[in-house]
Amino acid sequence: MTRYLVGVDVGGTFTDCAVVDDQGEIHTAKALTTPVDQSVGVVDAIEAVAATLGVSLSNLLANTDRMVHGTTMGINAIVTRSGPPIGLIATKGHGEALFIMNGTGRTAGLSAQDVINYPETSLPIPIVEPGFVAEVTERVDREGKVVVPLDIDEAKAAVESLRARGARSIAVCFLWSFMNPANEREVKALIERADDIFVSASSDIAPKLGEYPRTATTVMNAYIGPAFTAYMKTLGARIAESGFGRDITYAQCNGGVMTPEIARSMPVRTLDSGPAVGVVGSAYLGGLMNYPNIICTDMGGTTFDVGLVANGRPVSREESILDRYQLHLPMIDVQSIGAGGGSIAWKDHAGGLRVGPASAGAVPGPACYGRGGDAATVTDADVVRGIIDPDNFLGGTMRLDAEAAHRAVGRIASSLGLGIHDAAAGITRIVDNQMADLVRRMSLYRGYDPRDFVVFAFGGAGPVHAGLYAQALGIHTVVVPLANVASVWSALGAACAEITFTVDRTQVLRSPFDPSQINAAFKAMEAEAHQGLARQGVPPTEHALRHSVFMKFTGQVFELEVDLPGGDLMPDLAEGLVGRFADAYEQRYGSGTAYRAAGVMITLLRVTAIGQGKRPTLRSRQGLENSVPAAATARPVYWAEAAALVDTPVYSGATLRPGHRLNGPAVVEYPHTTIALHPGHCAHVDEFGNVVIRLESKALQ
Amino acid sequence: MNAPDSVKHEEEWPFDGLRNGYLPRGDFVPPSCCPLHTQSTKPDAISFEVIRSNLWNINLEHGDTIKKASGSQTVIFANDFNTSLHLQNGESVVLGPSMLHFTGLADMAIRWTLEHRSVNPGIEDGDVFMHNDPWVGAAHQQDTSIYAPLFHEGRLFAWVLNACHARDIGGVEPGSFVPQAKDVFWESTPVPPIKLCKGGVMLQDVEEMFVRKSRLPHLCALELRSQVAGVMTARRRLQELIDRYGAAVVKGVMNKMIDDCAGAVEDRLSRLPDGTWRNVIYYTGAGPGDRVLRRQVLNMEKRGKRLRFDNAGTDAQALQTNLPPGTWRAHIVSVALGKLAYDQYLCAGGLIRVLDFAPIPGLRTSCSWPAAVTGSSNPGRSTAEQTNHLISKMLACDPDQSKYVWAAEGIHTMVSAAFHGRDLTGRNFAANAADMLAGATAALSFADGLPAAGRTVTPLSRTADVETWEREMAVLYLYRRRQRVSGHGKWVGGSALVSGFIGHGADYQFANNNTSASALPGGPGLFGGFPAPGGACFSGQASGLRQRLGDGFMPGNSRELREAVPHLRMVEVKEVRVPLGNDDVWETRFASGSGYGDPLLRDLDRIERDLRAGALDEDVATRLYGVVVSAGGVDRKASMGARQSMRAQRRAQGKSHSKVTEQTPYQGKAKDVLHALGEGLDLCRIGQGIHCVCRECGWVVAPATVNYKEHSLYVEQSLPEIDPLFVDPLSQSDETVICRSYLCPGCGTLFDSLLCRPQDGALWDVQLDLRSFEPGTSGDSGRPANP
Repeated sequence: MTRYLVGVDVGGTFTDCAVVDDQGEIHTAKALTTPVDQSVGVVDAIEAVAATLGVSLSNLLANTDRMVHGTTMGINAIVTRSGPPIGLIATKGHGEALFIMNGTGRTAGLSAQDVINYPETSLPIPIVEPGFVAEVTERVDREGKVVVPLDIDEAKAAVESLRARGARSIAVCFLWSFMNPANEREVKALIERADDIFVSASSDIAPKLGEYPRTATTVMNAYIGPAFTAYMKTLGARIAESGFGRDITYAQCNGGVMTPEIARSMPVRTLDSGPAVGVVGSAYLGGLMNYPNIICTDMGGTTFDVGLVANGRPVSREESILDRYQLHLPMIDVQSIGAGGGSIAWKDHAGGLRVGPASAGAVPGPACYGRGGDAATVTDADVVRGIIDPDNFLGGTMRLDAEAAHRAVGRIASSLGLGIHDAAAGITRIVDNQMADLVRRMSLYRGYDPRDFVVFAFGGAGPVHAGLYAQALGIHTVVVPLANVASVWSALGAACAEITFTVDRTQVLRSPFDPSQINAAFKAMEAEAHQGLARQGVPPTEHALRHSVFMKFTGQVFELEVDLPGGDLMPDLAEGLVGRFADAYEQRYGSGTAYRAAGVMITLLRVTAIGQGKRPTLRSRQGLENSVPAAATARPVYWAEAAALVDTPVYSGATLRPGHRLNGPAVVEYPHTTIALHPGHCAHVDEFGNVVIRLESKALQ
Repeated sequence: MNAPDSVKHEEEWPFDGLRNGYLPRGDFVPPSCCPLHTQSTKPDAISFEVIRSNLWNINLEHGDTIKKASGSQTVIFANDFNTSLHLQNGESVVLGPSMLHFTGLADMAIRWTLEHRSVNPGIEDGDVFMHNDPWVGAAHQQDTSIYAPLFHEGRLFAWVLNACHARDIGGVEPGSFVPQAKDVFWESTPVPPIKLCKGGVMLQDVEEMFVRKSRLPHLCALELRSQVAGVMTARRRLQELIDRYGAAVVKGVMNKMIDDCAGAVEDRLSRLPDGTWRNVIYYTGAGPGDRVLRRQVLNMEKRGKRLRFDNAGTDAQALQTNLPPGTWRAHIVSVALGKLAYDQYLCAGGLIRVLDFAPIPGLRTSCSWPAAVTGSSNPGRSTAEQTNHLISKMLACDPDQSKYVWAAEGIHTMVSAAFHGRDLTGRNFAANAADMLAGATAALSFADGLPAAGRTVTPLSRTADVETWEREMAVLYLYRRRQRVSGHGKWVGGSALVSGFIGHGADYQFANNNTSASALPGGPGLFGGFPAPGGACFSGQASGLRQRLGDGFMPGNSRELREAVPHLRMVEVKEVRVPLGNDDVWETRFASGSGYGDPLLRDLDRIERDLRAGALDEDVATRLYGVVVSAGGVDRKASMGARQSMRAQRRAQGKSHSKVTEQTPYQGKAKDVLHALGEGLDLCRIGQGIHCVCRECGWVVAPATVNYKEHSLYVEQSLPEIDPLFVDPLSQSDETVICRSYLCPGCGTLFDSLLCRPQDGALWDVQLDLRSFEPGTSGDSGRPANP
């Protein structure tokens, strides 16, 4: 009997499903997202895949070994502030940390251009109403010593008062609780006695230095907790009814998955999990395809997202910003700018052409959508250039108004004194440069040379533009991965994700380090990691642990994670740690930056626990064609390289087979995207079905 | 360019960077030994946008490189640095978004270097220069500039520059702020522009000469190297851009950016009337124990499309809080950028082209050698607030530009304390718990200011977590809160933080108060809005609190700390070495943003919301906002009546500088309004004359040919009468300063509130040139203002 792995990704508009069978075949479908009860759309999407397989939903689910679910539910609740009233209990004197935001509330996450325009900036709407913060007498110091004992009566009164005011969810965040969680746990236990309240303690949710991001993370958890747990219950029941006998696992922003038990208490970890598992999927599948270094780019309607896979591992970060709140949420580092198909071209005060960051979004959308938008967008420019066929958009399911695109781009062109094609190519060039800048920042800034990477191009607009933003950075290869699957990549990534969590210990140690002290701490953490994996149902044979320490130079800010081999840390390695750290530091921050004279500190020990369960394989096709296929049709396309309309062959993606070779200029059309193959570029379809584009290494002109 | 009128008669240029701070003179001809690249091609619209965006990003990457390589808290948390990119002649093309005033200085360092270093030692490809000379262009000696020329085909094409605040650069106090300095010789010796790298290689002797000054030599070296890495990266990226597009095209884009910015600012200025705007602030505490009340004046004259600034009327330089003229200019530029050129990629060069500066040497804001300057932040902040005040009052004349009108933002008094000591593990530390940098923004013409929301002139500055500071210093925070009191008004200012500490885990520890006299707010309110308290530092030794913490008692705010430690005292201005042991407490209260408009015009719903949130005391609501509170809410009907009575009371009690006679309010038409004159007044053409008319009631206050304040009523109150959180000026100064509010004789609406001595006459703060209302002149746009 065929066995399956199922990945589902619930987005704002579509719910995507990817099913990988044990032959490595991938089957996909999309269904409309059902906002009131998202579990309906989830089942619809799985059912749609079952239909393509010719099996019943219950049959598919009965033969499914693992189902991974990614959702934007939490982030939507936060962005729209549709959560319930929540309470916050903080250390006396420090209940305002969430509002003070270290002074960053007006500017965090904004571009430098936006930050300098004071009248256009504001503070975010509070996640916790100011009247819902209670302060309790207690104080722990930096060593974890109790300086002021917890006033339990005050705590009781605080809980009662918050409850009486309608708080259904309470976050508890005390200073230095990650060094000594006793006071926080005592209050948590107090709240747990009232079983109608969802409780989040910061020492559980984000046990790290920094009370503001720790509080913000805990409060976000409290905010989305009640609705998320209710959804989990509904979804679990509906899927069980449909024939799935196991637990659904949930995608996390660190790229791993978690069991319902963990997801119920830490729903904050689902934030931004979609893009994260997309990168994890790229790392895993890229590994199968022999691409260890990947720049994952996703150009959709409003944003351009970039993530990185280096040496087979996704690059992650320890902090993130959500709606200007700074969070202690280790996540796969995916950064965005406002550059997408809907980005609007406009003429500035001095008569210059600009593109974005304002977007026409889906409604009214680009002018060519015919939904009332009349601003020229990147998609309109692509239509004017002839890259996008107005009669074959989204596989012909949506007809575009080419006239409207020409009118919109024409207006900008004439206001600038340009020809319409020059203006369209100009819009493209500007947006491609913006994207190249983000990729440059994501790679070079982290000490990676983009020329050592291939670009994976996802999203409806990614393969249209990737050729140019990759070329601008001297990158040689662009891959449109499993071209027909690229539009449900996050769902596929979810199917590839493993159970992953970290056990962290804040421990301030100064060099020279005592290995026995480090080993003792790691021993206890390993035990905790194994217990955690066991609790999530991972059999001991599938346990994998990774050890690392976070180190910094005394007096400096940046911490760096340094990997350690497993087992006991021998004295010579403890001595060598400083050298390893300094080397890693210089690799990341540049030669000469390691300031050894200041002394080195360890700030955190980490054990990453991984449940190495079953993962998909990819089917590789034998007997490659090695031929140039016949083009379906041809049409005039404006290529800036030729500065002219060139009659260009157009291929249907459905007809391409492994081994097929194409030479630019050419256009390849898929239902959800279009590949623009520029003059001078060539492409082939590899054994897995990826379209691999080879670029000349020349700078963007 | 920038030729000061007041010194034209002198044969020698006085602003030479030696006796007096440097200012570039207009007739500079670069020496032939250093040929400049001037070839420029006009870019097409697409290339312009692409290359402009690249230039902006190169400059950001320059900053990122410094952050990465230095890893310094000062750079990363406080953003106490900046980067910039310049034309061959030094004109600024792009500034970074960090400390804006750092790079408001940058063009001067480059110009000085061109003037003085072209021949000997010469300016060559691969060179890197450095300086930290306040008389050339640095706010104080800690702010070290590193800058490098880029050559193309043997010609000097451009410059890249950065400036970072070094943590210690010598002088008699750790951290290099020397509150007790009598002159610059108490402080770190400034280094004028010298060559740090030759042929791309650092000159070891020069580096060691500089690093040797520091108490933290290793950190100092690392910071220096990070700055060199920054200019190297930026220079390389710029070279790549030239390789890609050609030098002439890149230069064309740089020139066009400056031209476009100048054009945008000129356009904005051309829609405003000509005139002169003036501001006076009072200060004291120029050194420890100093109680002399002095004046700092800023005057701004607008003619057509140009603005000219001078400091005539400012008192002479004294003790430690002195500002070199270049830094004075830089603070003016940093504020003007955000109000007149906010959409121009921080292209300071274009802005500076339309500005003229005419400081008079030897004054507090244009000090001459050898004045002490490490306390320049105080006059610097005041200059920034004065500039904001003057430009706001000017922009208020055009309703289309009134969005960029705001009162003074927080931190105008620069309350700041540094903690030094050794903890129980034997580790030495020196840190400034920079909660000041959480900031507070000003009340806008259409919205309240934002609490703890940073500052507009250092947009990316921030503080760190309490836990981070506790890790760095031997203190335990008792509380860190937003203050309840900011500047009152129709729109209220954002409130800044107040932080309370007890020494914790200290072997020994002491605090240095770097603050000037904070009893005198450095930022005025606007159009009847009130100033905000200036903050202060407080100390209490042997508090007895250590014992009580263990017993479960913990003060959670300022009031509780004062109840627990009744002998808490205000720390003297510039007092150094105040003990902060394990039973000693300390509180720092920072200055909040000031208010905008008459408080009686504040929306009652907002007041009710503030009352319910506990952000406003009932007493203040009644006394300042004319609100009748009942059951914790606002009684609207009774409040309307109370507000009428308050207006009547103001008129009854109001004094005047000249006789005010009863009149029938003018029932004018919208078409008669030539310009707004702020929040409460319009300038109207009545018959043959132009008059200042109250917008609220139509009272014709005065002909526009005279100072309307002479013909208004005014009421005065002491600062503590506004709010008890104001420190009595007499506690720090020999003379007092009061808040005087000018109001309409017809309806009692406040037109403006200012800080002055009781004996001061009416400052003519807005003196419009009526000729600009004649048809065909630049100031008359023919655009009627909204009455």
